[in-house]
Amino acid sequence: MWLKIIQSFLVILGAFIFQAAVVPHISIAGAKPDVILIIAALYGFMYGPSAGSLAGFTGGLLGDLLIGSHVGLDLLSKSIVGFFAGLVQRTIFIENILLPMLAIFVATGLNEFIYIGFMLLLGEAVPLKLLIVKTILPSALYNSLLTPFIYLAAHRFMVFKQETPLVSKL
Amino acid sequence: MPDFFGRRNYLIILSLIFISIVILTIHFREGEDGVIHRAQRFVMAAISPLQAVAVAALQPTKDGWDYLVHFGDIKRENRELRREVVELRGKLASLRSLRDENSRLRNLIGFKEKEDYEGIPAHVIGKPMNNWWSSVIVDRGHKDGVRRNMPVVVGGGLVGQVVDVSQNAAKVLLLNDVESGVSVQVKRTGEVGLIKGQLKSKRLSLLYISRDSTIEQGDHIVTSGLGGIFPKGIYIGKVSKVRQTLYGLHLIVEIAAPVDFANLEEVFIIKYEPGFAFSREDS
Repeated sequence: MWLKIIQSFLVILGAFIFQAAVVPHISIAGAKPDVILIIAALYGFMYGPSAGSLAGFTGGLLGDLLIGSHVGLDLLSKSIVGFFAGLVQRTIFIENILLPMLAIFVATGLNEFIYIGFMLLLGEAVPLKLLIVKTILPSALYNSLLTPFIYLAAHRFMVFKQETPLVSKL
Repeated sequence: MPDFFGRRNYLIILSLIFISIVILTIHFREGEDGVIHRAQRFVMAAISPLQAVAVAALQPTKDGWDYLVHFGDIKRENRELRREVVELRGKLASLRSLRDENSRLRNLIGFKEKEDYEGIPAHVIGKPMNNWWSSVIVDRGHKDGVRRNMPVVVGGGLVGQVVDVSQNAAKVLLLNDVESGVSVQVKRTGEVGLIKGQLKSKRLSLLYISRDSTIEQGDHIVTSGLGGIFPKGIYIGKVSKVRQTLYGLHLIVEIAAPVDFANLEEVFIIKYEPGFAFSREDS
């Protein structure tokens, strides 16, 4: 049990280091992928809502501590994304990579809309159309295209065998 | 296992949401020495060496790519820069004589000389890692004399201010971050306003300029010195657009900054110790 927790933490830590050190250099037209979000969603797809939300929480907390403007916001949004990714665990089989790619596209949208909600709460002017065109769609696309590569790089470290409902029934 | 997919998971997510809100609240309310702020400094100190390694490893590739892609532009730019250097050398010579004359006249009427501030050169080692916040991490920290609230500039103008410092690194909140706010002055008219970043836009907004103002496109904007964080007169940019709404009391003014906030590599941290800057440490 502890070994699985430590190993999962190391995967998330690796994603965080990649996000902090490498991602800023691979942005395309200003859009940056969110590796922590992809990992949290992959945990959700593979192990269910609890694992997804806890992975999102841990990765989000690390991201928040580094970015620092509103510590708590990233962990809130990533926990929710990980949780919802876990809810579709029954319908998404990670072996068919197209479905997770589509789900990551939607998950990125969800993550960004949580941010927009927070900005509105802060009273900031939110140019919604501009944000959708310039931020949300490019990032969602970038994240989904990156998903197979992140999955290939990370899945061997994502310890346990996939627990689909079918397996758990058996 | 219906229970596993049901109540337990919802309890976990509700707990995590609750913890997130508690952390958000604590972060808002605690001072610079609070536990979350200290954790932030710890994470920044831990990650900055890795970011420096990534910059060192990736920058040559990026430079090589840029060179290949923009070869034609670089040649043209080089020609233009050579011409500009010749022009500027001429202007510099005349400005030197004006400065000397200005200094003599100031002494004559007893005006205080404008201060020259020492700068700490720094490399940007960490760039914004998501699409929402604009802050960078630089490779100079407390041991190099960097302190919280110090202004950061590049050749073109103001970049932002130091918001957090660890021993070997510092975090700089960029001017185009939505959380940033700087008191500024329209150089031609003397009006004072506030510069704020805009979500997902390279332009800056200038707020609180009265609808009766004569501000126009091309007017230069500099720091006002009010508030004490920034010294007076640091260049910020020029007015790129002025709009007026039907019932608004203020104009909507957009500022084009000469600084490319997305591609900062080297910056100068100005050793400016504000005399009456507000900081949470003081309160």
